[in-house]
Amino acid sequence: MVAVISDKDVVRHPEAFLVGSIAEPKGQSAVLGAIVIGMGVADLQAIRRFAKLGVVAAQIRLIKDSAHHQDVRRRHATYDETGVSRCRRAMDMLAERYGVERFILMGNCALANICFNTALVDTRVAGLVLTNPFVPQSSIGILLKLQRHLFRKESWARFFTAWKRPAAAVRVGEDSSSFPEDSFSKDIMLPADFGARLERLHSERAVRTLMIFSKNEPSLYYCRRFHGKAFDTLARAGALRFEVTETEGHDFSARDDSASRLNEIVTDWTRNTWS
Amino acid sequence: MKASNGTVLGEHPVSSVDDVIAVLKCVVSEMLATRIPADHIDENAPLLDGGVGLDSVMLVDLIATIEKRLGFEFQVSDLRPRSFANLTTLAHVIAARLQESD
Repeated sequence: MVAVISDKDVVRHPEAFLVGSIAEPKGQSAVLGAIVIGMGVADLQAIRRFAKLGVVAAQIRLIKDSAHHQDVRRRHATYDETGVSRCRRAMDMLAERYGVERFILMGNCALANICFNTALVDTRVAGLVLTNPFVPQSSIGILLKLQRHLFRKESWARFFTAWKRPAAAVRVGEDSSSFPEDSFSKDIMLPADFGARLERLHSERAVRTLMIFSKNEPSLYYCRRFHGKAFDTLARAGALRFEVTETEGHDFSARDDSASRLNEIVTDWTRNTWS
Repeated sequence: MKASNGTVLGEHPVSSVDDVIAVLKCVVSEMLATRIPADHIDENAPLLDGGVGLDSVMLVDLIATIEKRLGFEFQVSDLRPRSFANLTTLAHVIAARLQESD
């Protein structure tokens, strides 16, 4: 059992971020805290699983203002400017309330990158759970894109559909021109030397990392191609666990099996790394 | 009046799926900015994606609120997307948990 506190009790920085809920371990004081950035069902499941393992965990959203939340451009621009500072404030909140001094940070996509960038500047971060880290399309490159699509039956199916009926192959709602991903430069971007920095985080501060990818995630190919050596070194040292799941989608909260598989891996990693 | 599992909301016990649906509709009605009356909420409409009109933050709030009001806790295995497909599905999950705590 875990104790769950709803947001209304615990918003300490109302202008900074929104606390969905906090899961406390019952009957024991936590020595480790976790910040899970995201309001999906998988994220809620994650904080409760953390609590069962003795980790006090908060599920937060980095933007409280719902107008920012709905507007993708504003939301991402805000993440890029203030994501790390808000993530650090969330750690302050748990530290103040529960006395925890070390933290695991967990996030998906751009929020994974914010977790990583927070670890670079905040020595309280002891562990990272990075799922489907965001990589701009421009970084992936044409060869990696082709490599990704070459062995996917869905890609071939789309190709043949487009061949026969071009209009039917257009994805509704997909407008890459409206998404300013190349304008980002700060908190939501992975640094070009991501792998090397991950190695330094381990060698200097013993930071442990869990990376989880959906099977068709573009950043999986990018990460393997450009940071694979660093990952291998870290994995051999026991500092990195690298998992590719059968999940099709980008968001682990979208399906039962994705949410469950994600959390099984996180639970197993937490138990083996921090107990 | 008190239900066999001890859960009481106001004067009425919460002992069946229909009771749970009624409670859920009240809670959702309070949460929605448009203040849709509880009896106008379709229990079979999707909770998210423009159905009932909740967003992910509201869903997290709904979960915490309903646990407090009904005095139970979702198991980790309940916290999966399918459980929150619509109010009917959610009510079945909750009713099962309430019966367990009987």
